[in-house]
Amino acid sequence: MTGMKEVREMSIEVPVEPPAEYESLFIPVPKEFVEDAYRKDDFIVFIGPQHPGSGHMRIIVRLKGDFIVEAIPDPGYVHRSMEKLAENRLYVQNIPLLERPAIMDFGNYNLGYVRVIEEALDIEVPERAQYLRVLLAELGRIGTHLYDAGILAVFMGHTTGFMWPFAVREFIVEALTHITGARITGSFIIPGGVRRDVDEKVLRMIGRIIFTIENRLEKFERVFIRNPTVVARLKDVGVLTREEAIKYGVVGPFLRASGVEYDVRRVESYEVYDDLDFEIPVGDDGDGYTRFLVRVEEIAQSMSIIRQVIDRIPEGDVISSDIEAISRNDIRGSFYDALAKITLPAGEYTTLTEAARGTLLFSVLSDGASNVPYRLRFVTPGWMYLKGFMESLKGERLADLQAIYGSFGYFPPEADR
Amino acid sequence: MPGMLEIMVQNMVNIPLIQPLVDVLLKIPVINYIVALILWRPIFAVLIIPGLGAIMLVLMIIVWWERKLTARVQWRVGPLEVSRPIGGVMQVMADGMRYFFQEVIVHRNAHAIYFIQLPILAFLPVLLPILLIPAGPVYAIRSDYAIPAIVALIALIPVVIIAMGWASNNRFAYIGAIREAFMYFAYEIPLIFAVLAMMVLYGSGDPFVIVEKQTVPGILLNPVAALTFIIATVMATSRLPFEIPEADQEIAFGPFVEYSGILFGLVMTLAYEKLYLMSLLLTILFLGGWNGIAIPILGDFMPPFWLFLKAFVFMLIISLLRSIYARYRLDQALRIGWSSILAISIISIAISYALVLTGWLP
Amino acid sequence: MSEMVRFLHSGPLAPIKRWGTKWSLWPVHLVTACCGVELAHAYASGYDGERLGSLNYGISRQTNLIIVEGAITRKMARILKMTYEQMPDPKFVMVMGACGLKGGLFWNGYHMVKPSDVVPVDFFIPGCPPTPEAMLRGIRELQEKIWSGEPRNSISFNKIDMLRIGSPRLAPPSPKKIAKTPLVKVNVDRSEKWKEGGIIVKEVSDLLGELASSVTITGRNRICVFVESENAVEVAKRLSRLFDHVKSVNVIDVPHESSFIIEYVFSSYSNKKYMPILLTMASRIDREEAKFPSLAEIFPSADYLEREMHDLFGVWFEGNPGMGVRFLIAPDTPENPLRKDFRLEEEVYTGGDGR
Repeated sequence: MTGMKEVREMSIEVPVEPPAEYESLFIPVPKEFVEDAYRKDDFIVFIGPQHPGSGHMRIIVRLKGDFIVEAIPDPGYVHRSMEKLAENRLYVQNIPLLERPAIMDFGNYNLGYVRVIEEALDIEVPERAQYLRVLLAELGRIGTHLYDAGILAVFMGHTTGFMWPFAVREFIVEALTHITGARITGSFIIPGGVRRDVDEKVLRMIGRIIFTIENRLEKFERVFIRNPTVVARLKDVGVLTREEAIKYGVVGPFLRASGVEYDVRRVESYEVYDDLDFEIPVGDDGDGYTRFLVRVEEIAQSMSIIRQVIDRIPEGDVISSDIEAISRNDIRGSFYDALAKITLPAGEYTTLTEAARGTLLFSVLSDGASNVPYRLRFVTPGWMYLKGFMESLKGERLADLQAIYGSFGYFPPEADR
Repeated sequence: MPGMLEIMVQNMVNIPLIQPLVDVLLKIPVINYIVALILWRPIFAVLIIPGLGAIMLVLMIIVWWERKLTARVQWRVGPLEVSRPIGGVMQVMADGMRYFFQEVIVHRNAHAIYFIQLPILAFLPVLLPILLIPAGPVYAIRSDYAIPAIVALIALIPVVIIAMGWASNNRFAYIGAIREAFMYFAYEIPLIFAVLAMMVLYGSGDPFVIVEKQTVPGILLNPVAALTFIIATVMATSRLPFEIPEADQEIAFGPFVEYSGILFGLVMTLAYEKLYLMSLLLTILFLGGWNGIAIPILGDFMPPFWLFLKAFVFMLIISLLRSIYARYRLDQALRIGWSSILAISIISIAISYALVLTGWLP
Repeated sequence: MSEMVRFLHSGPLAPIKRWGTKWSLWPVHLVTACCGVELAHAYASGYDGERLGSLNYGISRQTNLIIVEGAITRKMARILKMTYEQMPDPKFVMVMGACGLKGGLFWNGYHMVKPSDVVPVDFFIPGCPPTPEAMLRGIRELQEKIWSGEPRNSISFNKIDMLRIGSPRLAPPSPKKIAKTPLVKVNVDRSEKWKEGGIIVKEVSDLLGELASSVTITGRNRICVFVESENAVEVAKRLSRLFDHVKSVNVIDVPHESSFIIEYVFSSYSNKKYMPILLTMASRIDREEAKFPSLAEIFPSADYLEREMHDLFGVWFEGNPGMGVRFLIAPDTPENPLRKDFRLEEEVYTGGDGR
């Protein structure tokens, strides 16, 4: 092999500079990063916020060939300053405010916040109200998982997979309308119970709705969940091992997909979850498909919980006797008098709730004299798994970005608050 | 010396159904030239079927049908309100009109000249194969090499699309153009092999010979080649699950990302036009071409009618793919193209040789 | 050029143009806030916006309608403007939700912008969020406006004579009570709520030894450890034996004591015993020179949380790569909006004092 030429690396110094709009576009990466990428023949692609395959956020992706070398998030496009607003409102006014991050999952968000107040004031919630709260939370969970399945589908170009879950969601919305009167923003849970009682007919209707949803989901499984193209796109994509998932603090179904059996409903049970019989689906692979399947299985578990709730719900009050309400079945008429003056004793109170997309942390610091929170900190699941989401993008292909995005069900209004 | 009119009238498409009308019209001056020109076989082939008229009809119907069918699969109605009595067929017209009157933006960084002319230029490789595709007695050019020439001309379309991606000077357009190039190589070779297999089987590249020999449709003689051809068609026309170069959720319509107004209207139709051409080719190679049940009243129009109908039905069926598949990733599509599809395309050639050697076919 | 535009607007082809535009209103995929949920419903199976010829489509160049889905933040406002300017003429803007109309629930937020200040708006669809029916009616009205050239309100409200209702209930001028010198204490002892917590508190105290100034039970499964800021890294290293991730990073502004309280909430996924426990590591730092060592090295899950706190309070987490760069909020937002000395506009309650 004497005739072989020496291989030399050639490089031409091309003058490069970032575009003139760099300053005005709020680009959160340093200028050197852009220049360095130019020099190394890497490709920087901005995904979002006005992009058919992104939500309300921008991901700055650095590509080497087709592979993602680095993914830098640029969140905050839906940062609605909720923590500040919550410091300026009465405790009870914060209930509708704090469900806005994920309005399709309002049950869990109401529940998380209201439990802070109840814990601080030691309010006993009647059992019927607890069952109704669980009912709302689980309906929200099914609805959110269906929503995320639809988004995942459309991100992979499967429009039927988008339409069907949304059609099924209409049933959930119907149930919520019958309970709360609103399609997706209920604000139904109040300190000491729920706003008003739900009659037997509505509960029976929800039972029938669950039956219908189960049937429809069988069809959905055939067309989307077991679709070979879907499996090919999601399998072994965006893998987070158990160690990584723990390290980056991933939450909820995405953590369970990586093999960690952690569900707040079991770990630190609240309401009546201890009495209910359900399983926590756990996956092993930690890839996109497992993340999706875990949520599909959770829908089934939630449906079983709802059936149990409808079977077991006891008769009784829905508003606690600690609240000065005129009627124990309906807060209307005494809402303001009973709830506006709530003042928590001094100290910090923290609750964990298992929202649809994962652990939801509410932490309220009260000074003991004001009837507004001194500081309200809440960390939504989306914000907690953003780090894991970004790490799982590295090393994958550009086309996988949307598949991973969908498999995490990342919802920027929830993450940005 | 016979006048133009005589030349045209002698070689006119004979359709008994409208013959009385044609006879009347031929007696009127000026109109007779127009009528004779339209019904002159080469012009008829280019203008009506399988030419421009058919393309327009296909674009009108197939886009509507695709949206309607998808909507039906998805438990909804689809375009309707624009023309309720006829089920919203006018939707495509409305979209077309909207695009037609919309502002065309040529952004500052685009290579303006190419950016504007390429969508128009793209019609060249779309319209040229029409000349070579015969519909029985109605044809423009007859050649022994018609089939290879058609395949070669269709293969020009991706080149134009890649050029569009370059002229757009946009990241997504650039990535889309690269994807288009990769996909092009992945499907083009199996496609050519499948066509080759059929040409080996029939022993000719002349559509007339091919259709004549198909007493049994080609799809039954060599189903493997037909399968290869259909998959290659799906890949070539970027339909799901191989809608990779234009993947809107990933790279925002790839090469077409910067096009707006009528220019986008033009490039958006490219895939459908390509689908139409491929369906015609498929009909000639595998579905017995213009052979069909004789309808005497149609006369010379009968072969174009059958050819069009078969191609059209094939397109209607393939529209269903949109609502049942997700999109493959580029590397997965390439793997499919370069391994299994290439393998079965080679098998299809072997089958053809075997059939020829054993003398199943004359 | 202007002649051509005039020809398009009023020439013989204008009706065709108007007809095409009317039946082909394609909204661009610009999702801005939570009303997107109902927008998706309006275009999905239940309501099927495609009936009206309105197809949710990709990007700004190929579409002609922006539906602003609720709240617009300062960051998104710029994107909205860019999208609007990228869009070819004729183009329309519709705004969903109360937030887009007058600010809605977030009317006095520091990060909010009204869409009508950014782009010309054709129609507002009120609601929080508006139902899909309302959304589609908005599309209908826009179609009518394009066809007839005149905007029309689709709802007319009945005038209610206020006198006939009777005496309105009186609310106080402002129900809010805010303490002048609030008592800010994160480690209030509530060990009566968690009787069996002593074992774990002892474990934690043994582990930290001198480093912890106090270890308190603040509730069931809640422990608060107070440390000095210079010991924070060492404490975090020791705690990483028990806990493996950070659930929350919190900063509490205490202006009357001229200090910040930094809180890290640790928890565990891998150790079953510690799973339900939230351990808060709190530390007091000076408000003027707000610096704290970053724990992102030890707990990567704290990375983005620290950046967020840096954005909102201006606390400098030494060692975190994201310092000095705005992460969550837009560069033109007021500095350190969550500090107590940044005040939001107050609401005005009417009716209380007899008015």
